[in-house]
Amino acid sequence: MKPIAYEIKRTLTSKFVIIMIIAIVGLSSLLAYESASTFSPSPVSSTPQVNYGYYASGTNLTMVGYAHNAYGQPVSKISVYYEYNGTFYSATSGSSGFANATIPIGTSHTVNVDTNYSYIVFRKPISTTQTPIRISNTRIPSGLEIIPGIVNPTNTTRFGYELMYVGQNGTTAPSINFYIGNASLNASVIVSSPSFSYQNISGFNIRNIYPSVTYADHNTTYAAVATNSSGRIIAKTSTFTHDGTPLTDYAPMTQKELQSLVFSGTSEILGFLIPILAVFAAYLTYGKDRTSGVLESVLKRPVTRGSLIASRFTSNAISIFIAVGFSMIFSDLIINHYFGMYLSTAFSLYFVWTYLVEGVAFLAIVYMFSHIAKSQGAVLGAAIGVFVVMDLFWSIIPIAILSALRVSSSSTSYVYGTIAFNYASPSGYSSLVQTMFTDKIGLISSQTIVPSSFGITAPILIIAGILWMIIPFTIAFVLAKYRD
Amino acid sequence: MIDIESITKIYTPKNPPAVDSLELSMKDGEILGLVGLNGAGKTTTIRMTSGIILPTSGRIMVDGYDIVLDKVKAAANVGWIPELPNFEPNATPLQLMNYFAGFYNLKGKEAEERIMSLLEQVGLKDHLHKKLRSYSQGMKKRFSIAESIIGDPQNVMFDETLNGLDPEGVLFVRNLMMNLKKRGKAILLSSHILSEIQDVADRVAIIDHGKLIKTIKRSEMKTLGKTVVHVTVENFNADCKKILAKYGDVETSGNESMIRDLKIPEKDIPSIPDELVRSGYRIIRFDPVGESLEEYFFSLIGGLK
Repeated sequence: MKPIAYEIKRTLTSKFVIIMIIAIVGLSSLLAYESASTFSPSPVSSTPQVNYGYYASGTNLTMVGYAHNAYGQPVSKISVYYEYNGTFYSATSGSSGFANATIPIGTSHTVNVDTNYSYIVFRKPISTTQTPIRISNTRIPSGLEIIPGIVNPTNTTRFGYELMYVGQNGTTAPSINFYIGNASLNASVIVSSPSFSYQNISGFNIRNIYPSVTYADHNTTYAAVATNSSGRIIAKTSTFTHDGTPLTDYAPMTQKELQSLVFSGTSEILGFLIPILAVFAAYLTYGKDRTSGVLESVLKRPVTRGSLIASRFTSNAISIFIAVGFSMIFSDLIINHYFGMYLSTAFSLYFVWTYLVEGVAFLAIVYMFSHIAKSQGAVLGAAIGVFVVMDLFWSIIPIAILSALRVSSSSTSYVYGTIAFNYASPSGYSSLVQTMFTDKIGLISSQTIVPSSFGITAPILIIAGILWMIIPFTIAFVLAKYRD
Repeated sequence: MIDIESITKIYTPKNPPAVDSLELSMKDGEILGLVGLNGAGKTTTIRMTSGIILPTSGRIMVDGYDIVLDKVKAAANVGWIPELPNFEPNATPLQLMNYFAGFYNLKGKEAEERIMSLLEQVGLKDHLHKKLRSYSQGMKKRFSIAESIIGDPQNVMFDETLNGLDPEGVLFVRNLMMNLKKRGKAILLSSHILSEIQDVADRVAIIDHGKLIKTIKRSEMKTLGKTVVHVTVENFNADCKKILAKYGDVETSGNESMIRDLKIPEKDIPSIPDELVRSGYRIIRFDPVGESLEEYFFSLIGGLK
């Protein structure tokens, strides 16, 4: 077996490296999934809504309230209040979402009921304003109501309609024809001409309809019309173009948006875990072996000190490359699954390069300390110190120092200072690359800058990356060669 | 063959050199014993010769190659069995032997056969798949012997190898050294067990405070330093001791006595048994010999006697 093959196999099959690679790839994929699956150009509201209907029976009027979320799904524990003639009647929604109350109205044909509801957010009750409902003929139930704009839970860029039917004594809907058409057409045309969508439905109180839409529909507004079995229109949404509703707000993602997703997800986890993998793999593979004397059993072979440190370093660097490479591949596949497009090759290469630089630089720093510290404890302490100072707290250190120097966070000096700190640690390298792609800088008060004006250009970053990998390793190499 | 040419090792400038201008050579087909007190510089010398640490000055030539400047070629001809061998704890002997074999370009069947043969020789055949962390110190030492000679080096250095070995292991190491010597290898044995060195070494180098004090050939070992006389008398008593005391300092244990610092010339030694016989004592043993290596070693470095 070639010694380098053994070194690589030993590194890649060590429990620590296996666990870290699984953690890095798994967590970065999870974050990519979280970012991609929850991404929406218009965030979905978390506020519950209540729609109302009614029917009369004898001298009582039953007010029907249906509490639902933005997806049209029922919401329980919503308190609904009905006020009639100064008397409050209340009901709380159950798992079906209904909160009904019976109001004695005698023989009145026309009644006014004021409604409102309240819900709890973080143990704090929130009440809505009162909505008056005027019922001109209590003998006729409210029937069918079409509520547009509910969000498709399987694809939040697409919308549908919620149909609420309240019949006599709360009976379900008879046979109904439901049409969706271009809002520029009037209702009768939508019903008679070939429509965008049509279906015949019956037997429901609540029904959510999510028509099939494509990206091509994003510029069109739609209206919905319902007829009874004899073709008479019984409910409709507005058919004026400007009042119609789009059925999708989907817009293709730009590379910038995709890159932002990666920077806010995968990037965060790599920036934290790659240095951990690097410093501890360097300690376990090299620093510990060197200080415990295990390395002597290898150094006595026909091998130079230089090639021994180089082969161990290479095996560690390969483990970092594998972790970063697989994270990138899985993140890209997940993004493609949700947005139908891949990250650009240039960005992917930059991304892998960035974290390879970060990992390899941390590796080299710990290799360097392995030749300065004399005991296992000292090397381990140095490795932990390097991680804590140069990675964990590195983004906070410039803020603290610049604040102590009373440099205004909106000044050019502050930006220069932040960038200088980013160049001064491998963990700042990913921030510099992020700035180059997003034009943003800063941890707390993120500012937009022109990166090239502050020395952040691709050639400079590539040179900085190469220097970060070469300088610490060269020092470690020289120490290995000339120092016992 | 290894030539150590005036090597000096200074760990810290505050302390005296661990090894000071040491000149030594290990010759092919010879066992060189290396003796000295703790801190005399034995292990430092061996570690420099193995290429583990760098000499501050001087050079070490292994079969014509400088261990510092031509490490790969030089180290290929050196085997070093350290006093406290240390290996990757989670590796098995087979994995490590395969790894080490790669440094000597041993491949495939040749490597496999050599590995199995060596591990069998050192008695580890039944422990091939155990991780080294579960090995006892003695087992590690046996493994160390095997892995140190996997490349069939021309020069083998045993650094306190006999420490921690059971009697079977000691016998194995002694036989191994003799076998290697027969094959023309240069052997260095550093040990605190001076009697062991005296038994096997062709030459003994005594070092103290990093300096070579003396090199003794095997032929000189019988007549080291001053002569002592071992006398065993069957009917030993106090009067007998008085007679012996006339000839030098007497140490007695039972009926065995040893006369040191003789007061008479060596040519007159036969007068001792003459007087004993005349006085009616029956002599079982009368043996005038040189001092043992241990006695000589202590007398040389001015240590305890």
